[in-house]
Amino acid sequence: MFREENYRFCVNSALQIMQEQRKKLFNDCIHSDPTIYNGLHSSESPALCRLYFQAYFVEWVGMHWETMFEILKRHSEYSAEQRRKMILFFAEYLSELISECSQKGLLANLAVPELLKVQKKQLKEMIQFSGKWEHNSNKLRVQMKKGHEQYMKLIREAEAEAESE
Amino acid sequence: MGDLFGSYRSVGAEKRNRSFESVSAYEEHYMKLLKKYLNEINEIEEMMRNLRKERQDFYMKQLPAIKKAMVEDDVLSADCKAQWLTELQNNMERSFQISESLIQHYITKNLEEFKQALKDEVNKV
Repeated sequence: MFREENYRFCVNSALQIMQEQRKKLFNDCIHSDPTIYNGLHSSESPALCRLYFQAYFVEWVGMHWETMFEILKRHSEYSAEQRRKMILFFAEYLSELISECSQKGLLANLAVPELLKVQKKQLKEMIQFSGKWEHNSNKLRVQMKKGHEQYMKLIREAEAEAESE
Repeated sequence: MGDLFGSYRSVGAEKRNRSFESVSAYEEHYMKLLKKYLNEINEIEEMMRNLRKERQDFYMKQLPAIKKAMVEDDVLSADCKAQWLTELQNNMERSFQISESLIQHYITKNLEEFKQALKDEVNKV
């Protein structure tokens, strides 16, 4: 229950993850992250601009999951069972974030369709079949990397097309 | 048949224990519980305060700084700029809402356990 240290750790860690990613978003804007910068300077091609922005935010959402692992790494004293609880705890909130992001705006119609839907489905399976959490978590991380690669490919193709015009 | 179960629906006034001792014992248990959960109460307050401040800082300081940086970066396309700023604000706000949701759930869990603990103590009175 709430007085259980594990639950407190889950809540504090999840809040820390959300805060760190907000900080990252701000810093990336201020320090001209290449993906954001290239998107802002793609005025000749609105499609390219959109691709860059989608690529950035899809990666940003995925980074929440990676940040969770980084935080767990800093707590080597936690047992496998405690890690499992934390991962399943945060999976729910990341799923909620993905739902919110996918409803409207830039991430509602992705150039890589179904990308976020697949991630949400994987999170749901992770929670539902908690015994296989490690396997499902690895699947998710691989899927996030693939998503990034797919976007980079689309961006390269769009840039080549813009240059040839 | 009449109101067969009426007497079971609520505790009648004649059965309520309003003695000074029982009310006083209840108060004492309540204050003890508050003291016991003081750390959690303070922790929740701090979480909420930090989130409020962070949100305020985003709108009052960070967003203007980002807009200024975009001008300095010579972002020419008004459409690109508008699109980015809209998405930035929307996704930041979604993130704030998730954090708020986290704190709310923590509060709910705390409240449930506090109420149960209080109920357990009251049953002893």
